[in-house]
Amino acid sequence: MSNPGVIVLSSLTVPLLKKMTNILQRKKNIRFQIEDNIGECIHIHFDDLRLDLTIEEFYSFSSSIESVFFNYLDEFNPIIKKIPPSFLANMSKHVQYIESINIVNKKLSEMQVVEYTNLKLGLYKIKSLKNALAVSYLQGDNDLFDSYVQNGFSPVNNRQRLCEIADSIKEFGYPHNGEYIVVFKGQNIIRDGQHRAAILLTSGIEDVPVLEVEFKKGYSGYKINTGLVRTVINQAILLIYFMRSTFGRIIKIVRINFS
Amino acid sequence: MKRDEKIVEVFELLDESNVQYVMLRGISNLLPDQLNKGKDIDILVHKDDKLKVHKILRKLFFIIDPRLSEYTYLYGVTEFRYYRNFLHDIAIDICFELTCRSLNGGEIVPLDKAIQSNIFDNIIFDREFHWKRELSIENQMIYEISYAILNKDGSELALKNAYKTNDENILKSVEDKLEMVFFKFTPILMSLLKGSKYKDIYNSYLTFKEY
Repeated sequence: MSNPGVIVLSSLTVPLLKKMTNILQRKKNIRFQIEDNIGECIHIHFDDLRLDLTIEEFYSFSSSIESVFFNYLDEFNPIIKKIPPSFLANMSKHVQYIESINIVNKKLSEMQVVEYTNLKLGLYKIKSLKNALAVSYLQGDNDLFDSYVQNGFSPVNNRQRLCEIADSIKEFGYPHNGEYIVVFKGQNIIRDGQHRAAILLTSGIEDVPVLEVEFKKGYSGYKINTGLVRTVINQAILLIYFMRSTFGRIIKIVRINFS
Repeated sequence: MKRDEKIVEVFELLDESNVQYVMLRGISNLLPDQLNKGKDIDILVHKDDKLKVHKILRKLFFIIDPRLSEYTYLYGVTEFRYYRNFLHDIAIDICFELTCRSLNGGEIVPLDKAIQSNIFDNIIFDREFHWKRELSIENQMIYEISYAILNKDGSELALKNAYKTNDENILKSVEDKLEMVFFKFTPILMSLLKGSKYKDIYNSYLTFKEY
């Protein structure tokens, strides 16, 4: 019996420690995925192992893990606790290189955002926040924002999502619960909080406090390539993809129907 | 030959060849002459008759459009076929089992085998019109409710159309089988359907936590 109501809550490919790889005598990466099978159970996949949990069990389990994790952070690097938990997983590979985290004021009009041009191919472009789709939508131009594909499952569409955040800012202000817009020092690119930034900018707010993460000297893995070469390569990949899918379809039609 | 005559010809030939098929989602009410241009004719065909249908449609100058091969089909679902006749502007969307789309990535997944098992044993058939072949009321409800929630994000209109009877016996049987799709949410789903609270169904489903 297959449940079509599956939502992937989180998915990671975890590299095994070399020692573990030797012990387990297997591949170097393992899959870790949490799925909500609506009405049935929560699945936690850890390689070949699957745990089936009720929602209550899952909450209890995640609460224990959270508690252990934050205790560990106290020993490892307590400043990491400043990062919003919802964003922490996204930047997990950079965590060990964090030097400091500070709250600084930034001009929203100088901020940039990442927008995917093709999520499937992982292609994106860097834009000024002023030209972001969410800002355009808030200024009355909504067609492109509606069709923008977000990463991951969302039970609401882009407009509803933005409206919910706007309502929250209206009610609780910004920042709420100590959750700031996140940037990495050295690049004015918003890493977390693009919708909040769009709402604040279109509300006429210019300076906002943001969480700025600074990394250790010599570490550059956090940087997003913003150069011209990347833009040209992106366009070339898109063109090849378009030509391949168009000609591929024509060839397929001929092959299926006339061979 | 006009478009509606071509459509009639298609179904005459399917019947002559004893192809087992049913029309899906109420499309038979629009045939042969009320179907808007650009709207597909959705049919479920028995897996064993896949080749037979292919030969008939090719004879009638339909070609396969490969667009449906771009979907991801899970759990052994047979790939859909999308046939087009450009001359008469007819598009036929054929599936070979009842399916719905997964919430996660829109993959095509089959409804449970227990739901599929008696499809062609219990169809509603009007001998006068070849295309008037539909799933039993029970199977229509199961399929269309699943389709409305999973393929149409809980469309109010689609759910309203899917709720076809208040007959308690049929509703009981529908509920039993819907449990294979919606699991512990099913009693709530049925209660919302009975109360005509179509608008609340999708959100209740996504936020359901009693399991």
